[in-house]
Amino acid sequence: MTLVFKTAKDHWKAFFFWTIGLIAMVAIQLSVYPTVRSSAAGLASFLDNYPKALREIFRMEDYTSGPGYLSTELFSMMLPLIFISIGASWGSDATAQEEERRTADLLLTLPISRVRILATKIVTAVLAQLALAIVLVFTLALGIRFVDLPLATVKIIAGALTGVLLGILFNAIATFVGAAWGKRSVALGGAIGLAIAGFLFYSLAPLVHTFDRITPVNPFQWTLGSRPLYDGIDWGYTSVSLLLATVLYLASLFVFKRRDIQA
Amino acid sequence: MPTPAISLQGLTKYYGHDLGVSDLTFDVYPGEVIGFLGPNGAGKTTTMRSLVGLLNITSGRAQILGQEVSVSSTALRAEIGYLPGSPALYKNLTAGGHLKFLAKMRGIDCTAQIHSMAEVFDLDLNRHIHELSKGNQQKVGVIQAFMHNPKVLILDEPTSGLDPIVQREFSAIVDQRQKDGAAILLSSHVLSEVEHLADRVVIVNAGKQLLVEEISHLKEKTVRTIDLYFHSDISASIFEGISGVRDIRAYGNRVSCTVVGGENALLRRAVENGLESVQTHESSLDDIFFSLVSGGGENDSGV
Repeated sequence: MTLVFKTAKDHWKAFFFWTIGLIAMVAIQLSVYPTVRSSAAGLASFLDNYPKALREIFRMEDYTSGPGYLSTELFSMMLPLIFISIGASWGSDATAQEEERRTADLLLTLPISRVRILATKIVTAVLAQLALAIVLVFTLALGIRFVDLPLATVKIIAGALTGVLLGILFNAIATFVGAAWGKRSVALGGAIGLAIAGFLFYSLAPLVHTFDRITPVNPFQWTLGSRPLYDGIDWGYTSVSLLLATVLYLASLFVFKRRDIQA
Repeated sequence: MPTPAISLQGLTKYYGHDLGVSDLTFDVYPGEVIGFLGPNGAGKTTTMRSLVGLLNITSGRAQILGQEVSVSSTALRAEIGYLPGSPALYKNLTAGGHLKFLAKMRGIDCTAQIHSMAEVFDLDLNRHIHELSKGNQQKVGVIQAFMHNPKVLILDEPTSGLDPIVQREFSAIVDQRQKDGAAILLSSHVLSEVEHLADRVVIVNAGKQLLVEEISHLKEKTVRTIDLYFHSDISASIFEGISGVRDIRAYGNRVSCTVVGGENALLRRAVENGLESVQTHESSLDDIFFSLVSGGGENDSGV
């Protein structure tokens, strides 16, 4: 428990600002929605003039509807970005930062197993992401009432869940790389690099046939691709995401348990 | 013979193909302080990190309190106090908060111990780590190693960065823990630090063990320079032929010579010839050390 508090304390400032940022972003996007809706006709024809490719990349097919607007403005890019940033940075902090700053020397010579230390940090990171998702759900569920944007709460939950899943997946990747190599930059760079690549492949898949081939194994397809605001929670994709994250977390524990921690 | 608290039997550590340490074999008994000596890069830190479970041992064995040491010997670490070389601390905590965090993680209350040691070391527990000088951070490191009264202390360059007054306090704490029966392994590349703390020394260089020896024996092997002052002018030839005495030179009423081992015979003859005063220039362990490191490596002994 002490380590949970310590980990939370190390991150609370960043976490606090991410939360404020998230609420502010949701509020701003929602406040613009009435204008978008009232000029729906004009916008629709305006968007029709966009190249089809662009509309597909940003999933703008249904921009002026409630779910369409929120998908484009929040759920297809900004929210995943926030969750992935938090996930990857906490993951690379978990052990790699402790090793790089050499605080691991004191932490790992305590009478606590390495597995327990890393597992505690993993649980804390997952809980933090869930907390952020809950904030998101409340903010949106409340906010859409003010701007008269009808959307079932379960769809909002589905949307937030895709964010959390992406956050957790990239947290797991960064945690694993950090646990295996002990370098924060490699862990963070690796996770963010994979996220950018995954997102590009996912976004360009409608246009580039070769990219489309990897779509089934692309985490962005499992999350964003499940169209949560329209179709609700996709239990199949959710399970696959959780399974992959679990495998990565277990692998992190396995490699970290027996690694040399060098001076 | 009591059971050793720390026991190394052929401890060997490779980093990939690079040698860390090879075939270290020595024991540390309860109530004993061992000075672990060697130049930088000799393998002291590698050995110590292997003992506290940060590194995997490649071959050989290490036991602490009769238990095999490994990266997963979690429970054993409750009995060990470890001070890493220039310890890195969490910058966002206060000195007191940091020590409390480590104590809580150990699941014990060390408040009294923390406060009394902070007082002895003159450390302000309310200051943030990032505000502390290197010396003060070292004090925090020393306190966390001692605060839970461990049976085994593994201290990597414990006095580096401490000013002479604090070094003296540190020596007092080491003495006290030694009297309480703790086994203490402390490393240094400054031999004079270890001289008054340790009972025995282990000297390593380039990953190899050169020597295990009691400090007192080591000193007997040392070459000392002695100046003898007499009432009147004296001839060097009077002192010829005394065993262990060499390089005899007379300068008026003073005779200067070097002595290895006992000096009784020399002093007896000097008294017979009107000795007035004696001046001994004790050579430090550094001399032995450098003679071993620079070419004496084959003179393995004393294990």
